[in-house]
Amino acid sequence: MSGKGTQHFDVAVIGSGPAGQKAAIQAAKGGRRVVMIERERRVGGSCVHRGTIPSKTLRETALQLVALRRGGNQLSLQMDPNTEVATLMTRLDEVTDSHARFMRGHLDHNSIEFITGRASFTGPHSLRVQRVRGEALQINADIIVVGTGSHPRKPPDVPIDHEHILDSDSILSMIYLPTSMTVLGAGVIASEYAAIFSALGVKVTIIDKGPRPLAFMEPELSAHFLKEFEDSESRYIPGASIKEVVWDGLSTVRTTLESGEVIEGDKMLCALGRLANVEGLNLEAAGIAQTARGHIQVNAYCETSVKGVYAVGDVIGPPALASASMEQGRRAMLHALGLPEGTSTEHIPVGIYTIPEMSSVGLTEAQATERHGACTVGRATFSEVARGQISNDRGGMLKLVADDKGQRLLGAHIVGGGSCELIHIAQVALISGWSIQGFVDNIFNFPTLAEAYRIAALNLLNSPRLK
Amino acid sequence: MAELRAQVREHLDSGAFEVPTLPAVATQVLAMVEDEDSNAAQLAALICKDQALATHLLRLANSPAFCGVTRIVSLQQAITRLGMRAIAELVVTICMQGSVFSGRAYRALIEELWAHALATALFAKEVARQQRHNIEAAYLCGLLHRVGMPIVLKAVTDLCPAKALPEEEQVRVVLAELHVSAGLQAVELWGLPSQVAVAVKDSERYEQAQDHRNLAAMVHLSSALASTMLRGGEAELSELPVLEELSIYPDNLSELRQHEERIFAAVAA
Repeated sequence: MSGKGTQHFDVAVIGSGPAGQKAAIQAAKGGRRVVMIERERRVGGSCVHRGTIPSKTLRETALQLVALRRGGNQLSLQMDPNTEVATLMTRLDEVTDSHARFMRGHLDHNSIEFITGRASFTGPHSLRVQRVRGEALQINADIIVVGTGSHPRKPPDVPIDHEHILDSDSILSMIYLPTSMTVLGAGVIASEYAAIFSALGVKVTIIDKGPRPLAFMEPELSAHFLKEFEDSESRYIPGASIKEVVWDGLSTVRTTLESGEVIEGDKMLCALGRLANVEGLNLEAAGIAQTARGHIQVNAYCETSVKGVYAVGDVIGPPALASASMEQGRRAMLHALGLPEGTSTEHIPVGIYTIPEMSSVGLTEAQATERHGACTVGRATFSEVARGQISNDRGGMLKLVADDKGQRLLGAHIVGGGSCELIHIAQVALISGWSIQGFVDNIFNFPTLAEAYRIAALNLLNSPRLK
Repeated sequence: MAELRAQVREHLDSGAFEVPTLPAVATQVLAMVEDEDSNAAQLAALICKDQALATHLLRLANSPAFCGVTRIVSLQQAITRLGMRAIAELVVTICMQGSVFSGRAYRALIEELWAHALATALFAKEVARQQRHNIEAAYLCGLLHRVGMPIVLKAVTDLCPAKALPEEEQVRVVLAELHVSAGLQAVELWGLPSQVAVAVKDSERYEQAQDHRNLAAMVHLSSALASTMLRGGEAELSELPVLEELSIYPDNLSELRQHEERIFAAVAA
């Protein structure tokens, strides 16, 4: 029952990132009265304003520079040390504004009420919303979706000041391109920024405990990325632990490793993971359980330990991809409304916007071997296809993983320009149960990188282990 | 009043009025900081050429806004401790105070303008840190957002004989009306970044900013924080619409206000 001054909604969505948006729109499409609560004034969450979109805008400039260098070996192309980072993201405001406007229009079109404030649970289905100014609001909702995202982890031994030692939220606030940068971590965010700055001419040193960057990816892909990264005078230090990080007060961030080696850089990016944004949500008041890593615990339908309360996106942990988050939001709402959810796909592609980019769907060779005892693989390099020659992107590679008889596709892994788009062919093939022979029998446009599928399939079918 | 305003406007627009120039050392220091081949010793040597500047810099470096536990006794130590960029900030700050926020008439008003400029700059650094915005740019924008005011004041004193200076209240009205155009003139003359022009032009009405709206809003808030610290008026601060613009909640505002004591001491230094 609502108290005086309490507003009731059918659905309340906390957070306006990709996951929250899809949940809210699905609820509105289902005829429900929906409110979206967002702590920031603008719609979109970190994805639009601090993460995915700003970094990809900078990446576009880096890619143009890489393409120019590739196309004109006789030119010595370097960024001016005084280049302002903002000038490398010329269209950023335009991109984020139009994206935010589009999303806000979508919410308005679906009659979703948007409230700026910080939500916290006061009970399983009741929220208190603290406005920036003025009195707090009380909101009750039959269904609540938590999509509050995540924020960069701040290790206690790394003195992040957002001026010299930055995290992924503040890295793009730098005015000038540094000449050198130390990156802590080798996950997606660390590798993407390391690749972008390296392509822009910054001497980047990645320090990580792992033997290779992006350890969850097919090793051949990360090895390929690492080679290109180190060819540009940047460096990856594997198996390293940090003893101390200090800003010397003059011009250098000095990182001392346990091995005794000292790494110096003008700036540091600390990208050692992200933490769920649960602080202030007062989950205890609703009885919502968390995992040992601090994420909100959910079942297969993204429902929390409290019936009718769902959590989606980064706040529930991996895969923490915008694409997966959107689907989680949509499916969670379908489940909440008792509507058919359709078949759940386990074939979610992973796209990593390093330079070169890489993308995967399905099982890696090691996973396929572990799960099925044996597997067959086939490869094609972009130098084998005309499009790769034309675009001078000859270093790319596509790898197919199939069952031990070489018939059923189990996974695909691509590194090189356009791989995040190219992977969708494999995704559809996996979903529709294509045989490897299907890649040989069907025709792709010429000249395209998609031809690499056919070549890799032929390579796989000619594998010695099938003879 | 209208006559004074018209006269000052005409004087500012005329070729006869000279916008104060920034001392060469300020531009040299800024250039040196951006030069990757320069080092602390060269920077110290450059600053040492101007004894008054070096002395003033050490005094400011030892103020609570910049200083750690240990007292800074040498220029080299100051550069090592604070970093070249922080030293550049201090040099610009000192030059600005010496060449722009100066004059024999209206001493109290000039001091008030200077205290507000410096406090705004120091608050802007903290607002920028909280907003994950660039800290150096925020400082410069905060320091210079009303740089047109002392320039208009100079135009007033140029025009009026020392014994017939207008009442301060009248002058304040003229400053408020004309400082933006005078400030923009100076920013262009000094070749400062476009962000500073935005701070001058749009920080009072950040919602009109075409570019760098977030920066304009940050300077607006920093200016309000500085005014509150220097003159009081706490109740109004929590009612500012700019808090919504920047999504600054009461606890975020409290965090910013925790810097008041340190900033106040720096302004008094």
